[in-house]
Amino acid sequence: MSNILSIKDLYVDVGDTSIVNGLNLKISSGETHAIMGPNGSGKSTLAKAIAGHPDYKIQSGKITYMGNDLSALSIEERSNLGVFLGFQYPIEIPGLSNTAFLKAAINAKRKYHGMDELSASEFLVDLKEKSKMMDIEQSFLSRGVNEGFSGGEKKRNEILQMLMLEPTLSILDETDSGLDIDSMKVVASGVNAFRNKKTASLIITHYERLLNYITPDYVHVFHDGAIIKTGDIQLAKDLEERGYEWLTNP
Amino acid sequence: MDGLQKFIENDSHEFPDWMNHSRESSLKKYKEVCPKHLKNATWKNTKLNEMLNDFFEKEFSVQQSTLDNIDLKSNLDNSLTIYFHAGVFFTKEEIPSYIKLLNHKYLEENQSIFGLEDRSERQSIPYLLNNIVSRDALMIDTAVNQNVERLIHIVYLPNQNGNVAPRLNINVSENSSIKIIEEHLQSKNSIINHCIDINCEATSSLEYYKVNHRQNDSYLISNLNLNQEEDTDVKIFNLDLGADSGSSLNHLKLNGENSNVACSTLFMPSDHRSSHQNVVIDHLSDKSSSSVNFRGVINDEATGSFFGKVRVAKERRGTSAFMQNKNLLLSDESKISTVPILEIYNDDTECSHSATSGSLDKEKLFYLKTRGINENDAKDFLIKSFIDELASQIKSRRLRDYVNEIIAGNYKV
Repeated sequence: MSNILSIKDLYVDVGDTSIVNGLNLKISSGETHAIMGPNGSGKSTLAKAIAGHPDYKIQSGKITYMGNDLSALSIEERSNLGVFLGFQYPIEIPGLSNTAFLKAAINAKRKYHGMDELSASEFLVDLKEKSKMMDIEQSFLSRGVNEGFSGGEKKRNEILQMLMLEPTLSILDETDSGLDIDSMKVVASGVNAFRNKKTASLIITHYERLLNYITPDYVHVFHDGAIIKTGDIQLAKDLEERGYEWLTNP
Repeated sequence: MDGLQKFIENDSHEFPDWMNHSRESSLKKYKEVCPKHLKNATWKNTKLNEMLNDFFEKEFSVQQSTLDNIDLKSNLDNSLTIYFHAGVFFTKEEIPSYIKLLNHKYLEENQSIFGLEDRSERQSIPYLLNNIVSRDALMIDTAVNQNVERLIHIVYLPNQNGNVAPRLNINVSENSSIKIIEEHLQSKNSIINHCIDINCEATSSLEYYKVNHRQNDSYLISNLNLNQEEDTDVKIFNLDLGADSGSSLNHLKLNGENSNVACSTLFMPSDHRSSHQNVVIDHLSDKSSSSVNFRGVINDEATGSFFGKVRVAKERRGTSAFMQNKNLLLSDESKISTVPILEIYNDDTECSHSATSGSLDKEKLFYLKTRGINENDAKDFLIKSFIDELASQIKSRRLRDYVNEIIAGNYKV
């Protein structure tokens, strides 16, 4: 097992507000971590800070990814090195087809690593297989990115992008929100297909239900921008039963 | 104003009396009308005063040698291509019966082309100037029930130090259809005052495209006056890449029941150029519908503007009108103003309008970058997607590809 992500004493501000306050976290290859916490606890801020959103400023502390200081890398470099963020609210880009977007993203990564562009046929075979796995109709792929997609379709499309880009670290920000039970199973199957000895996942969620399909190795409870308790799947079940109060306001 | 008189006198011997009379009466009217209207909304964004000062210093440069250097091959295969150069329309092909070039025979029966009926004083200014300068006109008049399959491609060849005033008159006869694309190639140090009148008779259909390439050190005024009778369907797409002072004035009149018009324009001025878009739609009949969709991509120190007005009279029922203007500002120095107006005087109508202006969406840029796409490519994608949403509505695949090719060669991130 090698170290994939290491976060040390991290403080992140958004505007004048401090959101993440002294966070420490280590994720090794092969591991799946879940972060749970009430609204406003800083979960999504952490996800965006790792991905490099310009409005999320690291005030102090360090995020190291595969030996690289993430703050020294641009957003696209982070992606090309294998960091993937599945958005809580996937963005719609009408006029740019899903297929063209995915092909550009894959080829950007290949170019970064000095590889030739993927041939059209290889790309299409891969896309067909993975979109089928994510239960996304072929006709959707020629539509604008997330354009006119339902909430569930958008989330499945995020997982499709993850499968196509084959990242090393996948951060899924409330991917389960707005999903019906069937879509949740499809999303979970995509995430489970991605899991292997070399990859790692950080799943941000409010509820235990997604974790019934993706069993995490660690469950962390987030409150006021820091981890206040770590456990295993049993912790998620306790939270489902007792809520957050017993931890955040004991 | 003396310059105008001199201009007419200089070449009056080339024209029949009726044309000279028409020019004289246009001059008279122009002197009366012009001072009253130059400050109103239609003209205030343009440099019309400046242009008028330059107007008669330019001369037609009839240089056959210039033509020799130009490849007269159309970029659109199988189209009937008509060229315009030094004030005159011409073609290398046999002219079909539904097309007439006025310079071949200055027929008195054609003088109605230069008429000013149905134009307000305000709108008549460019037409009056065009009457004075124009020495030729292109007329297209389809036969009843005629479906013109061949695309008509009208190409305005590059001008240098030219004062050119193309005049077109198109009548799409009952139950006929036609597709026309006009294309102004790049000119330098010129004044282009383009005037077109289109009438669509009952149950006819028209696809009309216009491409204004970038004009250098030039003024461009593009005027379209459209009248539609009942059960007509018109689709208009304009691409305007800007001029030192570039204006498009569109007046679309829905004069028959069930007449539909869709007017889309993509204006993309860059450097120090401008592109001012003005569209007025009059719903003059019941059950008429209009859809106006203008998009601006303004770069560098360029200026764009949109002025759109939909008018629905009190007695007109069952109309629908949709008007949208979206603008993308690509630099801190670029400027845009947008004024969408609905003047609705009854309840039995369905109308909506919206306007947005802004720079590239930061959250979209972030999203693309999280997928490994670099800053420039991400911007490129967003601009393309903004443009493509409009350009993809071009009905003809061939013209869509053609317009996309021109667009691709004319913007930069």
